[in-house]
Amino acid sequence: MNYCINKNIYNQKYDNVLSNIVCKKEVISDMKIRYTILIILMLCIFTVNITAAEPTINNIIIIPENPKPESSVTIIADISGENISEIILSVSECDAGTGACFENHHVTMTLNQQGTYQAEITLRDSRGRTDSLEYQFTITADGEEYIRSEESWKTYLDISPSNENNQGDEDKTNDTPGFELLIVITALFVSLILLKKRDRR
Amino acid sequence: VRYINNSNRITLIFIIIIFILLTGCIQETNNSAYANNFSFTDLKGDTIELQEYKGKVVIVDFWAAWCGPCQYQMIELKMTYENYSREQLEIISLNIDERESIDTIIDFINAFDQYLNVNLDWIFGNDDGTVWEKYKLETEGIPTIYIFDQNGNVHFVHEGIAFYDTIPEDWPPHQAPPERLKPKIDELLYK
Repeated sequence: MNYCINKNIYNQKYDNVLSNIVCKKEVISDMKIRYTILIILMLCIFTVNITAAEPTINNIIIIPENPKPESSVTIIADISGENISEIILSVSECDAGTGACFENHHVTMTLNQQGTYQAEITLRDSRGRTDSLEYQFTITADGEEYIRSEESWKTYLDISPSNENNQGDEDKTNDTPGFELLIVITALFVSLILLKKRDRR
Repeated sequence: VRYINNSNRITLIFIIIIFILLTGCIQETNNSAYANNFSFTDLKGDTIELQEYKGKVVIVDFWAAWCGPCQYQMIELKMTYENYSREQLEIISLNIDERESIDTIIDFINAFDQYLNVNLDWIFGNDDGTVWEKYKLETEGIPTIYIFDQNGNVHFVHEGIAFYDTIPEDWPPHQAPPERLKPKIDELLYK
């Protein structure tokens, strides 16, 4: 607007007949710019509002960190968003090597006292086909469904045979202490007796 | 043979040749019976049979919406679909989870289009459990890919992700060597 007034003054000074027309055009273009900026701003605010309303998953905690097959697993998710009415968690038991999935759990997550969402599942695969868990969240907020899934949300199971062996050894140690030693001692005694008998002859 | 003159000899040879050729044709007709067949419901609710695609190589992809690797498999199938004509190849993605409806499949396709800009434009269907019961492998994992030849014979089966042609560079070396679809299809189309 200031630019137009200056222009008017400039035109009056030089007694330009076209000055008013030029000025009107400037006013219109100035208004256009203002409206454009306003629309852009409104659109930005609108977009930000939409983005803010969409639920986001900030963090996922798995307990235990590396669960064993057929064991219970607790999944805790820190989810932010407005008017969340339901969260359904889908957990797949997969083989990360081939990329095949075998078992699937659909559970509704519940809001706990810490303000995070929680669910517990018991892993099913008993045939040694799986080595990892994959997660997918279906969040219902404001009547809309939002599906959240990321490749990085993966938990590897504790399927190491060494652990099983160690555990087995520990069990054996607890159940039969010194059992092997008894056999060795008996064998030594028998050998001594046999040697003595041979000496006597 | 001594008494057969030249013209008769030629006629005899001609008849033998015709007989051999006809035998070949009859054999071909017998082979053209479609080896495998099953039916499923497509997204419009129509019943489709596998044998309707006789003469084409058909990939049947067993999947479910909750299965992360199945989603990755879709991208590989898209590449496969784009590299062959509709006269050569058709793809059927059959959802095996009875909890997932046709609406779930449509939502899945729309989400792919919206978020990944990938148009899953081949045949999608819902299995009532009978097809999966017949074709599932012993370990019952998904995605499971079947390639049927032009006569409906099973040419290739794979459980897990099967790439179109290029194996990603970051494919972990300790993992099982992945399968490629392109050589399997080419074997059928260009043998």
